[in-house]
Amino acid sequence: MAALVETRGLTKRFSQGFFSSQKTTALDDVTISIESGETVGLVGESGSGKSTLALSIARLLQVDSGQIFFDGDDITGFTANQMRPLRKALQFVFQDPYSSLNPRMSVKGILSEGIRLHRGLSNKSEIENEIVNVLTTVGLGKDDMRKHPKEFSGGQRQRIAIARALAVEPRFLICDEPVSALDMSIQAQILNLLKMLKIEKNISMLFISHDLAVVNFLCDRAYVMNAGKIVEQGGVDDIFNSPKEQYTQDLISASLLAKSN
Amino acid sequence: MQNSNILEVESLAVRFGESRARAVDEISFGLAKGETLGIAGESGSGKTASILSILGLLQRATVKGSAKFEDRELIGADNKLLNEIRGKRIGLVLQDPFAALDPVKTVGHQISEGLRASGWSKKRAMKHAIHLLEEVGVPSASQRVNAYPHQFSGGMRQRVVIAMALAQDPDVLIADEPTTALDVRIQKQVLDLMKQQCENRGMSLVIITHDLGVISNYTDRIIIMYAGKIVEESNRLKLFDQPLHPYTQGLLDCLPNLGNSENEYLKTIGGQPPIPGKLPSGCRYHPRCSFTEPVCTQGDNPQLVPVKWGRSACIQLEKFLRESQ
Repeated sequence: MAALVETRGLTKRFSQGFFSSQKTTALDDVTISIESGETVGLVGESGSGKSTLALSIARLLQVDSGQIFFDGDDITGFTANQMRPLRKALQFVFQDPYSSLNPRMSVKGILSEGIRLHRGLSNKSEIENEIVNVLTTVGLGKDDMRKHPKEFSGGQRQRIAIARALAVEPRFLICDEPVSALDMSIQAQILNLLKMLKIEKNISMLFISHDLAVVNFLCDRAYVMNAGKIVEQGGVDDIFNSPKEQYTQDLISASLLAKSN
Repeated sequence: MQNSNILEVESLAVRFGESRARAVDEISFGLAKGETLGIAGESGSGKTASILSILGLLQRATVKGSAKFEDRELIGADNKLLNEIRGKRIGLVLQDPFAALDPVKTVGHQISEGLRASGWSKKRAMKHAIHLLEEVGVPSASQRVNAYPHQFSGGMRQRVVIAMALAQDPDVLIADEPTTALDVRIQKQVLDLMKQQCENRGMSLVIITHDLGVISNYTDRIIIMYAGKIVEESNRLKLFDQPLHPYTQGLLDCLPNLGNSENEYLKTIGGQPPIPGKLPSGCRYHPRCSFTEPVCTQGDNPQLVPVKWGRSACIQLEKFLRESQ
């Protein structure tokens, strides 16, 4: 079976400054693949290229070389028009729920945009039904529909961001550090929600995190990135129990896990 | 509490602006000389506000209660006394090393500023700054002392901030989320450095954090705060084996660990922390607690009760202790 998402030899370099001719290599020959129904973790420190890779896959960033495949199609050179149907299939949840939601729109407005555009629904009550459905999935209620983002806590905002992604019935979800801005008790709630989506809705996911325990909790496989390169890949159990690369070992030994039994 | 405590906080309460809600509500704790203390809690629990209020660093806040540093009262103290203590006796390391440094002054200038203010010559202060940079592990310190903050990485900047805090050889180092902005490998280096410096200098260390992993690895005594109150005080061994408050238990259950199995969910604490000013009656944690009994929902917030190794504010503490035996 072909992979749902695949990259081959992705490379991306950024200029280091307006006046500088030096370039930083953010992605260096990155090849990954994600099967349908799989949840794949992407681990690495800041600057390792995790987010660049995610943005490139979503075609929100132009790569210098390499190819991106979605469902077998090479989408590397797709125009905005060609990408439009894929925007429905591929959704994003960002790290900071305070800046990723439009403060001037109600929850209903935020969620109905995607439903109207991507699912072609125009009947008001139909749209509203869908919104209530998706809000229920993420643990919010019908009454929350008329509220604005500022009326919600960080954890609830992240639920709205996840609801926005789910509202268009995506096949593939990219979550870029979706819990690192949240408090401990709220983080666990969101992780459970994502795990529920994985188990019950069978959505494929690329889950980016610097937190190894979180990746282990949620993902089937993981890639470890360092300085723009994939340095290690494999099942989460293998990576975390018997890491092969020195870098992965360093990451694991440096993560300060709470000493619970 | 023993008299040997270098810092003694009694019934500290903090209100912000015109609001009548207390961000910190009558908390008491002591800090012994050479001790490492962790203060943990979620955002809004009052952990940062309590420390900043002690140092007189909170603007537009009403602070009540007492905080004595070597028997000198800090709450309501004038700037003359506070300036003798801040920096010189109590060093402070803040969360964000990108915001804590002045971008237009060299790091050497910033590290030595406090020393020059206390009468050191510029030359001697700069020399000491180089020595401090060496001590916190900044390579080629004698050149780097003339560099500007933007020329340092996040981890190196936090080392500079630590060098600043150590410059006047304080007795207490307070670090507010010192590594939250840093990567895991750098986080470990910075925490190791702080711990080692404290041991070398016989300095007390207070780490404020939301990360129980940091607490369990670096501090001996631990205070857990919830909604402006201390709910538990324990030590690093007991906190994880026998938490004294359901909130602590809940926090520990929330943490994913490397042993989680594939289709397992995390135990979560439902709901969210209360907003100051809209506190529930009785125990502030009762709406989220899974052990709530009618007795938990009434009256005032429960007082801390001492046990052999700490304190707990759970009304049902005795019952839990009996059951765990």
